[in-house]
Amino acid sequence: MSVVGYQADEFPGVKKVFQKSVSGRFRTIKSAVLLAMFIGFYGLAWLPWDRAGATPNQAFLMSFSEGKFYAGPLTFWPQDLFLLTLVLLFSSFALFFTNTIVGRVWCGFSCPQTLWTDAFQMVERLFEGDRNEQIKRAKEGNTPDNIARKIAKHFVWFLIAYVTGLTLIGYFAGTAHTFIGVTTLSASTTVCVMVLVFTALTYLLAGHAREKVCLYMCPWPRFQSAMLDPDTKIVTYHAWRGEPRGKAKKKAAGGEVGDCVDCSLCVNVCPTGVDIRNGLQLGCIGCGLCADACDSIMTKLQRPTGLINFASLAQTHDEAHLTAPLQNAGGKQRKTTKVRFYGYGVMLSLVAAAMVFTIVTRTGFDVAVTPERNPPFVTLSDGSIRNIYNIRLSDRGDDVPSVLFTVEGVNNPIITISHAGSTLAEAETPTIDFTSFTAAALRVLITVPAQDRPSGQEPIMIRLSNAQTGEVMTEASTYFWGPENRP
Amino acid sequence: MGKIEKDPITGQYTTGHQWNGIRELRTPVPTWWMLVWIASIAFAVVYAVLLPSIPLGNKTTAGATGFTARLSLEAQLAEVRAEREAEGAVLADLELAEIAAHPELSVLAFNGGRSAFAVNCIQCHGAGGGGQVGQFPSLIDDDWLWGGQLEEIWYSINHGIRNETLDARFNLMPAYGDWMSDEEIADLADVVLALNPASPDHGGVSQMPGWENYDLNCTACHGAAGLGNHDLGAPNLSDAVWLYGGARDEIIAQIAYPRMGVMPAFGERLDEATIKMLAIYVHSLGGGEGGDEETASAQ
Repeated sequence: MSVVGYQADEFPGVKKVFQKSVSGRFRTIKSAVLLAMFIGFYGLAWLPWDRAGATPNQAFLMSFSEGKFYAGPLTFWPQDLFLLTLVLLFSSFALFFTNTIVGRVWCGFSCPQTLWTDAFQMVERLFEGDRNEQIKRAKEGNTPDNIARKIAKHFVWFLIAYVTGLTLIGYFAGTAHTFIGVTTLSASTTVCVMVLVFTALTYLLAGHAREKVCLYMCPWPRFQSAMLDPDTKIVTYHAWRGEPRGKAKKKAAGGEVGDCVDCSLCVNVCPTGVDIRNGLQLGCIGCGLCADACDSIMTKLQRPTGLINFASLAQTHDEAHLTAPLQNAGGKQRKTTKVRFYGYGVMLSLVAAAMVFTIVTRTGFDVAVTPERNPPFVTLSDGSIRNIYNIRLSDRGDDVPSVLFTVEGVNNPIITISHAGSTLAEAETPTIDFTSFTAAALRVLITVPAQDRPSGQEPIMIRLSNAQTGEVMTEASTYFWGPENRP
Repeated sequence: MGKIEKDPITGQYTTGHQWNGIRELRTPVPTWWMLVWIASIAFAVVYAVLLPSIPLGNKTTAGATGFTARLSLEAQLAEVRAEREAEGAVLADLELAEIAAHPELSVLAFNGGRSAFAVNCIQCHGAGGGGQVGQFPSLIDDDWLWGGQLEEIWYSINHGIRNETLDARFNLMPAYGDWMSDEEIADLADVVLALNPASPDHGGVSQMPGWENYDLNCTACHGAAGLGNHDLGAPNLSDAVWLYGGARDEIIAQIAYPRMGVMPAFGERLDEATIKMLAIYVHSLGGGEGGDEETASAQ
């Protein structure tokens, strides 16, 4: 096609990548990570957990209807959203941290795009054979056999995509409900549409877009290179050893050639189709499959392995020049202390510590007290002084106890409680029953007799304890305001 | 700008730009990516035709579908209003006590009352209902000029105090400054102060010089013990709550030339349901009195 301003043949088109399968160290790691991630993703959605009421009995559940996130025994409320910030910070620092040590291993081994593409390619090989056979079939075109294989492949792809969509939405709407509801079309339109959206995305991204996501869509490769330094281990072709390329026979005969025999296997196994011998490039996701491929050839030729491996720039430089260590611009010896390594390490530990601290010290019962400021106090007809507090209570736990209110800091306080809506009870009972709700806005009146009234501001503590066991659940410090005694 | 040509090594076209003799290769995005871009432009055009989009000074093009966010908001507001009307009809039909006893309607009334209070009442009575000494009565203490039961609060809100409407609450207190000497008024103020049971002079109140005048002029409304009268809007003089101040000179000023509050009849401004919601909200603020039987048993 031609677009205004461009020559017709300027568009190189997209070269289709036929990936060859390979076995080796990194392939094994990649497969192990793939298996673990898939078991985690598809499995954890089914992990049962007893939950009260209509909430699905599911260990991991992000309930939109309740606005709560359940993770096993932990329940997170909307006000815990800042924990998500910590999780995001942790993930970012983990990404930066691994990037300074071993480059883009996230991309190569655990990015969902990599994982699902990898799985889809395994399916493709199952039906259409390995690289050579795939190329042959592509040249043959639409023979009945090829069409049958294609249909089978796309069917399995779609099936994986569909289960992925169902599972993903299952984390939000309940897995069993989603699987049954969407398949029988009894689930809500929103759930059905979201499942279809994620099915389509999985099918398109993992089945068709593949490496194009890394090359054209993903922003991460664009700035990750700024995070590399000379000590970062990246997938490296050791040109000093491999070049000039030549046939194995030539070297055996004593010719002037390097170890690289130009077999192209490293290119053929690359999921993004790059030639690592051209140096580090945007397309390299750091998965190490080319290293596996090269090692297999070197082993066959009985040459040392590691012509392509994870190596730092400094290491490669030192090997190539044998003696002279890599130097900084000023000619001084390069510093090997990695500020970034320690910096990200410290940040990672701090965020992790903050997360653990927050979750451990979180109380199951929250109280927020706001004193009424207008007016700060009221004089009653018998001369006693009353302060009014707006109190919000929330109970994260499953048990709903009766809560006893006590006040410390003023003498002979009388506590009166009203819910929003219900008028004040005549009986001044300082307990509130939590059987019917888990969060409540209360209007609490504290009245101090005339002879005990403080002058000015007096710090007090409102204590909430379990009415049955007497155990203190939470405390809130606030103040009681009395009229300032005038001389 | 140089000539666009093919780079012999890569076989790619150049952009034609040169910097220090280095020519930049032209590496266009793939066709399918370009198509996505063109599709986005097409989408933008369709969007611009169908929906309001192109700014023209102080307005935008209307859009073929006629949709505007304002119309959509109005439709939503109409829905909310219809819902409110249905709720209001329910509240208007029920007795105040029935609403207060109902678990859901009481919450509805409280919340509705809170927002109506914020619009209509806080200007005088304050955001927390605390009033203002010398100006407006507190709604959160246990002292009521006209009574603190639900029905009484409702009547005060509905008809107001000392306004032009027929059913308004209307209290009368003569200005004794026109008839009595300063000394007599001061003696009267001493009696009023001694009416409080906590006062040291309380026991000898009937022996005080001002007692004769109090008995003659004040007991009709405020009672012999100074307990006041809700029906007449006469304040309780024996308690610790003073609308116009409880100091001796403040009491003297009030006896001589009394100030009295005015409140509009909100029944003329607000609908029936809103008045009921306000009554329930004010009653629940902390000073509301119980029903008849409770009040009776308390006395």
